[in-house]
Amino acid sequence: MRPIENEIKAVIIESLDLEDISIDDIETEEPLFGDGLGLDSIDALELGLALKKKFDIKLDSSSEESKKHFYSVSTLADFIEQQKGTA
Amino acid sequence: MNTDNSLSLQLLSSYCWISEDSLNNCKYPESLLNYVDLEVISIKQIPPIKRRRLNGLSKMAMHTSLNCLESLKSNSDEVITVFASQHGELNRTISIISDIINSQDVSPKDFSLSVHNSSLGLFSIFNNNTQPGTSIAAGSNTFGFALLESYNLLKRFPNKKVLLTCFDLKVEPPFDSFLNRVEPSYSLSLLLSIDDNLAQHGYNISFSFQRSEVPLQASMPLPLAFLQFLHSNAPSEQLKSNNTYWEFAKNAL
Repeated sequence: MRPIENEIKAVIIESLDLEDISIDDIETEEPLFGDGLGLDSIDALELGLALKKKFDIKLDSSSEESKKHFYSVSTLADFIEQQKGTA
Repeated sequence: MNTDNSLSLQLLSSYCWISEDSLNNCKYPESLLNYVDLEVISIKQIPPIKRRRLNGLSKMAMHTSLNCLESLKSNSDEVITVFASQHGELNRTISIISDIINSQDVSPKDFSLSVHNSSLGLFSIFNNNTQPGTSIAAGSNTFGFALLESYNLLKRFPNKKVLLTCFDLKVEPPFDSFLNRVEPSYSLSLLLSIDDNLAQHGYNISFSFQRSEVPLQASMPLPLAFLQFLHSNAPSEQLKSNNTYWEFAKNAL
């Protein structure tokens, strides 16, 4: 478990008002949207904004690549580490 | 005032919530607060994944709407809705504009829910309600004209019930300086009908209104003044907004 994964989960819970969900409830490898956590398109935009603020990363909301990065906490962690050059 | 112009409908149930935190400096009488829910809102009826879409304003509206319907075992998918709010999503809009001024990105969720009919939309989605719904703002007369709209809807759909919810959040700075009195965050829901067969208990309510030649001063928002009248011993009372006299009369059914 990378520390950044828990940081991402904390951002998800805070930015999306998931008051009844704890960090341990979010599976690192499970899909965030649709079947998994059940988030929708507004959540995707909101989460993108929150991650941008928290990790100071650049996001292209229209690209197919972004969709892959937002698949799970794990893929988001890969993406952020890659952008920050720490991977 | 010519009472022949008055309109009548039946009030089947009512439910009011006021934010206790925002009551400071309002000095409302016990005779009103005894009939008001002052507890923190939880809305257990809505699953958490949906509930998180509700902000302060829509949470209040949902809370009183559901409780008003529940007390009469009325189905939330069958009522026609009139949601009335003088200020609507003003506080959310202030936050969005502040972000723009400070060159911050605007929250997509705030943006998508910043319209006046957000609360009505969320109510219809959460309750699978496909009946007509109207969102009304009419300044300090918002409650009165919402009642008039409810009457119109009942005349058109006489076998239906109308859920009227009138709600407002305490206005935040800088716009609070435009108000001539302190107003709390509150929501009042009324279940209305004109079908004699539906009314088992409740009140027959008559109302009429007349514009004032001069500006008026009222001590509390019209919906809360109406609630106080409803629970008083007076058979009729003249209430006022900033510019209109509203005459109400009640008969217990």
